[in-house]
Amino acid sequence: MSVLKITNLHASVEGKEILKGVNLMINEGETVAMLGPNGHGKSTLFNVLMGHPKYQVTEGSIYFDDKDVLSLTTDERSKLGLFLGMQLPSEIPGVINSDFLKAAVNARREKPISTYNFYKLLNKVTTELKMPFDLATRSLNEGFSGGEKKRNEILQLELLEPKIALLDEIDSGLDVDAMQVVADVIRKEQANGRGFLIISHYARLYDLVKPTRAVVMINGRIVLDGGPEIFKRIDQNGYEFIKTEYGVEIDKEEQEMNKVSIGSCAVREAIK
Amino acid sequence: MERIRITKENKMLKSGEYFIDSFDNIDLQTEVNSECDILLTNLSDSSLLKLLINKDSKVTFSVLADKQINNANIRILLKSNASIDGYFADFSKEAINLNCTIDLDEEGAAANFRLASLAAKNDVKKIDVSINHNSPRTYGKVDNYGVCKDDAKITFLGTSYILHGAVKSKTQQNAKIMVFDKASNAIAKPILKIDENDIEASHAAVVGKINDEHLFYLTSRGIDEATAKELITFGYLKPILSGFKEEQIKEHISSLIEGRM
Repeated sequence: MSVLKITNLHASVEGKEILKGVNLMINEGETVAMLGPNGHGKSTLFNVLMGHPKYQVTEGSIYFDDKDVLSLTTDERSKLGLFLGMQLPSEIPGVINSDFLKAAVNARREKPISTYNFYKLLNKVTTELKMPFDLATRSLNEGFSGGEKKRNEILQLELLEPKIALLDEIDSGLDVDAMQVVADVIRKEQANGRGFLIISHYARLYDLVKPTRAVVMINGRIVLDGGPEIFKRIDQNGYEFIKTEYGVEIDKEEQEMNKVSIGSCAVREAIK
Repeated sequence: MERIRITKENKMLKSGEYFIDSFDNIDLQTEVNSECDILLTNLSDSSLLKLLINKDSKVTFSVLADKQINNANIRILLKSNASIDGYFADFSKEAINLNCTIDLDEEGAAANFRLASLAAKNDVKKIDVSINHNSPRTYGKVDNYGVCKDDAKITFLGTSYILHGAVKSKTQQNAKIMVFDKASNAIAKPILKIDENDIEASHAAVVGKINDEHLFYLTSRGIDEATAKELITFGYLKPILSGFKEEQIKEHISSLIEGRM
């Protein structure tokens, strides 16, 4: 059984330190809920695990069994068995979804999958996720609704069969029915022995997929690591008890919303 | 349907599908109220192609350049309510210097041009697609898409000129170049010249490198960086394929792009 081990991880973006010594272990086969207020480093951790170029690791280590993850490129990390279901999946004009999915499937095979077998596989998973098959023939995520994008992430999870999947707010943008569909797939993949680290702000997804553990990230560190009772408590009472019981002051989130939206707008324009 | 080969003899085109595979200078026109589809697969050096599109006729004009062209000129003139959809796929090696001038001479004439160009190694590519709006209610749109790699240079010029009196005309000039390497040189200069008030005009120039977020998304699925870049580039250039009907030409263009990446 594989283990992902993060030790004293420090990482910054544009010179600002976000992760300030993260220690965390995830075993293949377990489902861990990751909680914490906005802006405290949850998504940053996921991006750093996958090797996003925007983030610099300044200290610490990440091991997946005996493999030094930090020395690997992003695609090598994926092939090692890590998967990141993104909060805001990129829209990539002109890149046909099925071409992309096929390239991703082939990246981990010795011999390329035959077109027939690939379509059979794709048909199976799109049916399971109740996705219209024509999504496969459209530009990757372009013009997809929020829910379709998230289902497309889960579809990739199924096709790529990772050992540990990191799901970043996979439930945002999903209606009740879609949430059920996504939860069903996660449950099936849990039964297949996959590990999950799941960020969500809502108890509903956690109720459906029943995490075995919960961890809380505050101020760029894991401050609590325990049983599922933690997310029930946070869902009902917020994060205040962490301050009173554990003496952790919670830093206020800095407002950066405008900067982000202008940035993504210009990028989209540049590549359209 | 088989395309009809255009030679020096047939100058007046009836409705139909045509191809031109070699020429130095050629002077063509379409019949009034006709519908013509013209495929040009062999642009030659120092050549001049003139095309007069007569009243109410509609032309689809697809050009594939797959070898070096030092100096090619295309002149297109449109009469009233005539229209042209032009597609230039430039995947030639080395140099290309192409000038295309479109005169929207009479009321209601419309031209819509899309170009995709890939420059790698030591290629030097200079492409100018210009539109003159000589009459009222004319419509022109130019979209140039380029990918520039290695030590190559791409220059997209193009002037959309609305002359005095060409009221209610609309024009757009867009040039976008994706740059891959430090030594790559990309210039996008879409120019508007306007001598009339009551018109609509816009232009856009974008030169930039491949989007990091896009690259991260693809590589996070196990696709290596080279393949990811190829997928993104292909997605950027591929819409030009819609201008080519024949499957074998689509495949030829695809293989040219893949071969040059």
